[in-house]
Amino acid sequence: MEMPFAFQAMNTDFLVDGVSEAAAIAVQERVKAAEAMFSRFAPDSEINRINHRIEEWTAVSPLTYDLLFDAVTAFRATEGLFNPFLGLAMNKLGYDRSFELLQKDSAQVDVNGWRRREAEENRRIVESPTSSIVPLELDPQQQAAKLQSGFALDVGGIAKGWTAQRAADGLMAQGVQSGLVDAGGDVVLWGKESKQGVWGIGVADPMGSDEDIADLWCEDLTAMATSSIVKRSWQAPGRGAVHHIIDPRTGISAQSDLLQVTVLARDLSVAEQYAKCLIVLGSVIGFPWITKRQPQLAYIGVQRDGLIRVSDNLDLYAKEWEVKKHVEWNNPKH
Amino acid sequence: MSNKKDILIVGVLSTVLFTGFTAYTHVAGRGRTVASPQSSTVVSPLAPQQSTNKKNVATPSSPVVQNATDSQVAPPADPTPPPNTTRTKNTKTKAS
Repeated sequence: MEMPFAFQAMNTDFLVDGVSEAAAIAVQERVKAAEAMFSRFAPDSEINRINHRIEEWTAVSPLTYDLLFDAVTAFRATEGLFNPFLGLAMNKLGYDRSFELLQKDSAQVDVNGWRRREAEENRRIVESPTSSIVPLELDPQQQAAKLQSGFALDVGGIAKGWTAQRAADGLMAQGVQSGLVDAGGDVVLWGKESKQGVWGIGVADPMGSDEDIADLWCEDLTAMATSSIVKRSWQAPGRGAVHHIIDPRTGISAQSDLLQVTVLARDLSVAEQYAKCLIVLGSVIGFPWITKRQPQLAYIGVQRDGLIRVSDNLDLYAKEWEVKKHVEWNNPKH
Repeated sequence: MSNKKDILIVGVLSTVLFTGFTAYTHVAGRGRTVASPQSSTVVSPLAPQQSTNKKNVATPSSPVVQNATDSQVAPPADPTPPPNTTRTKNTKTKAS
């Protein structure tokens, strides 16, 4: 009987379930290898080598090349809303070291303040917000990358889900009939769960209570990623409370009306990308935007006022589901 | 409200609309409802629920009213107290 297999990587907790121990260890090895290549904080990572060799070609591994190719594809598909070139903006906000170190150095954020802030979405209607010029060149023959001056790669918005999806794909290719890979809350699952036939996935309350805002019962290939402005937030000198989801239109933390978004897709990397886009765009622009562009994706969004918004196509991914209409935070943990 | 989280999916009343047989059944011991592949029926509307967007089984003919992009309408709820479900969640999706 397969037991859940847990390990830490990419600054978060991974869980592999429903597969043999050998398969779970293979996932761990893949993730650890990817972590060494993709980290923004490891000086010798391949991403950092590219960042330190501006305007020069840097040879990279096939894994890093594939990640960058998919990141550029996502950048184009979202007209720059998903943007892996915001490393400098992130540094400017103070996120230039691991989040644990950043937390130690900065004053604690009153996360309930995020709920009280006025969303700026309605004051800033931008349909095609960012440049479509990609500041990264890729050479498929040489497996090399060259970054333009004025940019820094930060693949933190894609690396975790992308790596977990690749690991799951590897197991599926080997004939593993069912399983689950949970990359710190970004989850990909396939096949039938062995004990109850369906995989049960809760959707966490963004304010940290133990009570989930939704229960999803899934089978077959399903991926879901959740982004929140609450989780990684800190006090930036001169700026006050900021968080890690940067609006590429402004270069600062997104200020929409959404606290948290979960996107469901068939690919975890895609889910992760679009969850961040919706946090940036907010509910008024973002939900119609994703429905028009990616109607096969489903979402569950939590607004600052506690209202929970759900796309009408959750059935594509969840055999059964229950979602609260509204979440009340009378006694949040934070 | 917290008690409603576990109100799942069991003992759902079904109404035969077209072909004259019940399309939704409760799977004993699993606490879940499944759709018959021959289904041409819909779940009958039940008492509305204040706190949840709730749907038991995917069905294109569901009476739940939804707009083009999202749903904020409480779908039918089960009027009978459900038995304890034995299902457990494997994990949760969250920001990290």
